[in-house]
Amino acid sequence: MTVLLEVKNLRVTFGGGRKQIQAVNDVSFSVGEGETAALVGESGSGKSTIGRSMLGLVRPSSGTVLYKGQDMIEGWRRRRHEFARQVQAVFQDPNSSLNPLMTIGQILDEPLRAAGQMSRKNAAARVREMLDAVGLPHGAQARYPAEFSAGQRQRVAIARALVLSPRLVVCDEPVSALDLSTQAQVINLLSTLREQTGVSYLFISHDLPVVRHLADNTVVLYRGQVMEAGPAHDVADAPLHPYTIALTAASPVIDVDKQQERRERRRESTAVRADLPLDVPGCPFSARCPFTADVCISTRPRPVPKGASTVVCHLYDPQSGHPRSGHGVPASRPPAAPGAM
Amino acid sequence: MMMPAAEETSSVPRRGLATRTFRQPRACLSAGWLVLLVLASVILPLTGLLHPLTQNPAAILQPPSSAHWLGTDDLGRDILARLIYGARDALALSLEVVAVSVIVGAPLGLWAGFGSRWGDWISARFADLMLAIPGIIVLLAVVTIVGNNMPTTMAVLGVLVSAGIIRLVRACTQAAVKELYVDAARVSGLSGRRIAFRHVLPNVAGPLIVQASTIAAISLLTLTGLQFLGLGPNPPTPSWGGLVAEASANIYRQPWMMVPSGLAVILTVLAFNQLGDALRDALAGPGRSSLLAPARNAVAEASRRTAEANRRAGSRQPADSDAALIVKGVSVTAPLNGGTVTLVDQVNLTVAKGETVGIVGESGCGKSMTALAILGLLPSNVTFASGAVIIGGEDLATMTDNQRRRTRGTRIASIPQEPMTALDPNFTVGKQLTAPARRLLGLTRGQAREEALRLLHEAGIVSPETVFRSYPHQISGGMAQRVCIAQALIGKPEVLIADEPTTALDVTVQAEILDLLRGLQREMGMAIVLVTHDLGVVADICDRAMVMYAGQIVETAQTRQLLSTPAHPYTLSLLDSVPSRTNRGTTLPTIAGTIPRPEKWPISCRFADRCPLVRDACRTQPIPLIRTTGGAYSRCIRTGELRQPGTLPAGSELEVFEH
Repeated sequence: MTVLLEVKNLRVTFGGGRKQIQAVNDVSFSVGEGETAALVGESGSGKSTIGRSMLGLVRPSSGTVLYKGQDMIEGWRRRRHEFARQVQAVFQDPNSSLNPLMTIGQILDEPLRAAGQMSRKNAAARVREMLDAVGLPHGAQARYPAEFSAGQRQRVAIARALVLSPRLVVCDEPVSALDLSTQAQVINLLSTLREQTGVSYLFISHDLPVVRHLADNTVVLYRGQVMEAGPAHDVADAPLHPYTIALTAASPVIDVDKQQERRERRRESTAVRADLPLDVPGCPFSARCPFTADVCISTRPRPVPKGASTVVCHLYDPQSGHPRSGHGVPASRPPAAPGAM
Repeated sequence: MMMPAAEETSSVPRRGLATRTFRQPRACLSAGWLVLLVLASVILPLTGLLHPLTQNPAAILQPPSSAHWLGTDDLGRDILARLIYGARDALALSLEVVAVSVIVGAPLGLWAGFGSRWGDWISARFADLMLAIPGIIVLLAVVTIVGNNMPTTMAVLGVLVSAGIIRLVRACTQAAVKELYVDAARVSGLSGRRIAFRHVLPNVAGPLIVQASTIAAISLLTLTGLQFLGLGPNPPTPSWGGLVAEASANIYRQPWMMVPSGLAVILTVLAFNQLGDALRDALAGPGRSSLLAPARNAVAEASRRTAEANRRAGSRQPADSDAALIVKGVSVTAPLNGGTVTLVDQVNLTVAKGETVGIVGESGCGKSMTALAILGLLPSNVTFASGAVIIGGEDLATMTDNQRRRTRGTRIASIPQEPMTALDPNFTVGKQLTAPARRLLGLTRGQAREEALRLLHEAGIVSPETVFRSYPHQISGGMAQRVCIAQALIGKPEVLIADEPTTALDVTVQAEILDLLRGLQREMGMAIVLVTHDLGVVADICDRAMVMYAGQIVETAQTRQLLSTPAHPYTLSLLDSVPSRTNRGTTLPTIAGTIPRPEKWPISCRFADRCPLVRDACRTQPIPLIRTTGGAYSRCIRTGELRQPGTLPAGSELEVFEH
């Protein structure tokens, strides 16, 4: 699989002086051609900031982002219309991502016009094609976003993202503002379009079950740093990092008995160490981790390969100096039940 | 096409700004007056009928007559003619001020609002300077330099008033730039200029038009003032200000003279302002109408009072020893296009002490309205149409506002969806806890402090002292929700209503909050009504749940039973559409279509149009809640034929019933 997007040592800093915040701290990952990579994390994990820097909306303070070997950060600055044809976005909130004063036709036509090189007639045909692809009637063209439901608006946003036939689409929580039944429709639409066009997704979400359903690879982030990365199923079904375990255990299952089990497991897998500061030079999860040792607070863990995944935790690093170094999370606790989420 | 057919679209016709403006009579009157002035000042000189300089010594200072409709002045000149000839200058110069201020102010405001640091600094200093300069002195100075050249003077006035435009455009631009669609436009490859013209300017246009009308009115007044002082065109050229001056010179000889010129000025200024107001209201759109329709609310209020009076007749309810909350036949309506729509239809619900009951559904199903109806906190345009909310043998629905206020906090309390907005940013957490503690429990300052700290500790906060002193913005969302829970528990309520209490929180925090609620409930034995869209939350904390669809309960059952053997096709479809053990590339089962809008809810089964099980019988009659196995109820006539959730191979078409 050829690599489409490669992110190396990305850092994004907000603010200055004493109030400086490291929103993204040394994050690396890659997305292959036709692949779906997911960034998973809670609020403050930096996942959306990473997505926005892939779109030229946030300027990283250091690190490289290569799209097909070209510097994408500079690319967005200097040749925006060129990159717009390669990289597109679907945002979380379909209410504010569509201009309420423009008709659906105008919204879909706009990227085509900005890109130029398409006659008015061809552009109109392309717009109709996209409406078909996302399952909206052609009559939608003359109407305004306010006339549509949230799910339909998200379809319009997806059509706009794909109208230029990009190779990579950054989906920033595209279904989390939608109702359950609509959510399933939009997830299905995203996977169908992926099959038809071979587009890659960088899928940003806090919802592990949705990620497990859609993604090939998952990167788990916490406070701007990578905790664990690997095949989506492995990460969801057999999480390695204590944070991923806590995250999986916290996501409720729709089954009373399984949820009760999960609840008990979660109580074991999280600790609140009020005595520990949140900002430590070591692992950012150390203040909440039940396995925290001195080394976790003092030293930032290295990425360790484990099976098909990579985990950034002293527990898995034989040379870390953690009392349980190299042994991983104790086997006595039951691993997260596969797929039950 | 593989997608389920397009969802039904709502067909709210979107009327243009012009239509919405001119449906208001004052807008038509104002625009009519201005058009009349323009037409008259253009046409009259062409006809040569009346001339403003023609003197008639035989008819000076005359009142209105058939020859001179508005009378004559001290040289026997026709006042109507002089007014109309003067109107051209009055209007043109006012519009000049508007044009200059917009041309100067709008680009500067856009530049500032687009986030360019230099642009912002320069524009802000320019605006400050313009506001600091005493305008009238500058104008008088300009007049001494350029003489009676009014266009130049008015251009200077335009620059002076452009400060307001700069600030307005800057604020509007800053708001627009934050919109996601501007991000989307950037990602679409649009140039900055194109984004400014297509996405930002249209948002600025509305407020700008309103501001422009105000400026037009102000400049007409300024212009008249200057002309009155003799700074306008030299006599005998007619000007409105000049006419007022001439009239005041002859005020004792012919008072009538003041009326035409004075009225012309007043009417035109009024017309500018009214037109601006009408535009503002039209721009505010239909969202405003509910606030601007007190008459309709009064009707709603009256009908509520009648309903209350009717209920009061037989409202004494026997206290059920086990039930903490009994909700009986609660319906909620709202006005729509002259009629009413029912948003919540005959909801019944009983919650025992120490029990948690979930209200589940998608947006627009009425679950939040039900919660608000129980709390007696419905929005002002929504009416509690019928039903009873009984806590401790008393019906909250029939209480007066005062009585009901006394139940809040002690009988019934609520936990908000967004803890951050529920706390007042102006007061410390401590203040927000001690104030209700003193009011509800009658504690002294010191006791209230003790109690607040105890509750914070109780709510799982590790360092209550620190949080007690903090302002809401200094604590995290999860912490804020703990504070809100502590706040709700002050009066030891019997019933706690939690409307999506964890939706705004991360999953790990959500789990902690649910644990906290569970623990507190075990300790204090209150009944909890939990409104949620998340079936996982239901599985975690609810003993029983009721599923709402289109304003009705469609199913109620013990949680375990509801989730394992749902008795309504809607519940089953919801459970199926959760991605769980599916793989990449497989298709999730979905429900076709969307929830219909309240005005389209049929009297028969409301899910019929989306239901794979639908029969003719479903569409002909109202479907009652039917008792099924294990004490569950389902509003479905084919409830016995449902399969279990998740038993279909993923990817197959959604078939709800068993083969």
